[in-house]
Amino acid sequence: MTAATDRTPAPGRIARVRALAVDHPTIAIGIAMLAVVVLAGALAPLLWTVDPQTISPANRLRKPNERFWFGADLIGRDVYSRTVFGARVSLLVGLGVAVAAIATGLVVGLLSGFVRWFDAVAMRVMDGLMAIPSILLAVALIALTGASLQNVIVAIAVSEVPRVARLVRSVVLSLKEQPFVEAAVAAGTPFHLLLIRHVLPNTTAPLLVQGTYIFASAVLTEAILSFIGAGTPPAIPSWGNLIAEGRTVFQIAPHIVLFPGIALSWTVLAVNLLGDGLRDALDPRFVSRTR
Amino acid sequence: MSALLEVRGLVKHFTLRPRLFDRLLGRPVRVVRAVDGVDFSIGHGETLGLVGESGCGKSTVGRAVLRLVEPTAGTVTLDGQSIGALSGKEMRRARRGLQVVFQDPFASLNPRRTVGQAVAEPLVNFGTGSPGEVRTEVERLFRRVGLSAEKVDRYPHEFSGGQRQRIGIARALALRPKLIVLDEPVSALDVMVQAQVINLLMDLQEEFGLAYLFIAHDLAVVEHISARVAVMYLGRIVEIADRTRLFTRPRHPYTKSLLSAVPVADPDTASGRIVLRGDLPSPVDPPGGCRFRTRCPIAQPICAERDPPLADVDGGHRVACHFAAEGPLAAAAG
Repeated sequence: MTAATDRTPAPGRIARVRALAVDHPTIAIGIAMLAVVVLAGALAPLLWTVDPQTISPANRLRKPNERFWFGADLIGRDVYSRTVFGARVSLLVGLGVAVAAIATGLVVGLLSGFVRWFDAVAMRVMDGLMAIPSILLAVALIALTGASLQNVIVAIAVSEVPRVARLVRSVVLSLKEQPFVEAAVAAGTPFHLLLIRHVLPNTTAPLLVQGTYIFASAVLTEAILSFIGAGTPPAIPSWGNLIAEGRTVFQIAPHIVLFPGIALSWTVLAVNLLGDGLRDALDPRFVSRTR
Repeated sequence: MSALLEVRGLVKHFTLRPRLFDRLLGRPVRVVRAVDGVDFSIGHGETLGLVGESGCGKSTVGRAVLRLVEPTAGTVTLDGQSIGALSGKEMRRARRGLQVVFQDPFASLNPRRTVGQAVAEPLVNFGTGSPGEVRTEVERLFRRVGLSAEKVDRYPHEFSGGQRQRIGIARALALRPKLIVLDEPVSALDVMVQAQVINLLMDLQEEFGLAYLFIAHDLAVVEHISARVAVMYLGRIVEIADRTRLFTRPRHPYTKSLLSAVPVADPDTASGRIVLRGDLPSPVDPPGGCRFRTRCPIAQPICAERDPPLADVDGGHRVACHFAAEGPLAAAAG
């Protein structure tokens, strides 16, 4: 019961940011690492050195040098420029999947939590979806719809929806029993205001945390799909595509796999650090531990 | 005088989710008989204390009165209006007259909203006044329950349990209801704070003409505030009477054992503590006949055969016991 103790309110915004960085270093590190990737993706048109689509057979498999910073690939395209542009694809997939999965899962979860008959149906469907490995499900959906960035996002999102739906449903079910929700009902709060005032604000923290994990796993899944040839079309420079192309010549030109691989690990690590930090910062059980 | 609240034949059974094995073997669905036929009424401005041990169904009665759970059977009538028959919209309107204060002061306020927003919520729902007027009213309510009006913009975690309970009372009071269901409002508080909150509730009752359904697990708590007291056991009321009569001449052996557990500050009083054997039987499978017979110190063969009705023994003093009329029970109990 020490949650109510003297947490002095921070005076300014800068001080608050500093306090956050001190209390939750993982959040600060995660944000800083992610910012590098976001900047690279956003500024890719300014950062590239050689047109990422230009083929120059004379430079194929060239080692990193002052012109080709990360070397050149099988047909002489610049790996550095392609990696920088790859950040756009990965971030787009990560964000797109996280937003789509959370939006859909939130609706399914809310309905399941409040509507009994829907719950029985929806949860069995979710069980079924979870029983299929997500890669397999995505491959099947891509096979049905054809390879495009949009379809990749949808295909990965479908397999993430059940986790979100279950999370939201469990939050709703426990909130429904909370006295403050019953008190609101007794105070004559109409259903839509009950959702807005009492239910949704209490789902944001777990959803934010879940969202970062979905983001990280979507980035990885996209790379895996590209690697096995079921992802974004090969012309699009995604990290998975770069790694897949470099795979055959890995032993003589490891740099083609190495640099996109580092970028991929860096991004996933950044998002996971952020997620872990958010989980600790937002979980009420941990609140009393921070000063 | 017609009663403010009339509860007739209230039944609430919770169906347990059938287990896979039970379903495969075709066993009947198991039912928790949380409330199994309860009648009482509360007059305008009156307090009825509803007492019983945990699991006896007293909170379910309160929640059914508030229609937070749908009763399986029976009627709840508030001010001549049958609550169970109302549509969603009509029910929301009827909630003006009917408010609640919960036991747990930590869980009864949304941690993400300020306490001022919590108290304003019923006012906003019923569109009483502009934002400025609502705020003035909230500040007035804060002062009325003994809190500083400057604290309306704070969050619940900045308050102690007793203060939060005062906030809960302010919220219940906001719409000027006729009846407030108090579901163990002081059980989570220190004894000193308990007394303060009970005094506050009594002051407010006098000022606003409120009626209370005061639910508690402890007879000592309801003694000061109640005009009448009902004792519940395993989903039924076993004894209901005026406070003084119930406390001085209890007829039901269960009431007697509860009273004997209340400490008396008088060294000359014979302690005669009646300690019940065993635990509360499961409400899934209550004993046949009189439900109390498995723990009753004076149980006779008839108690297993016939369920004693809640019968009037003495001008409004109603008891559900075959031996209620037969002289002092303490003698029989030995």
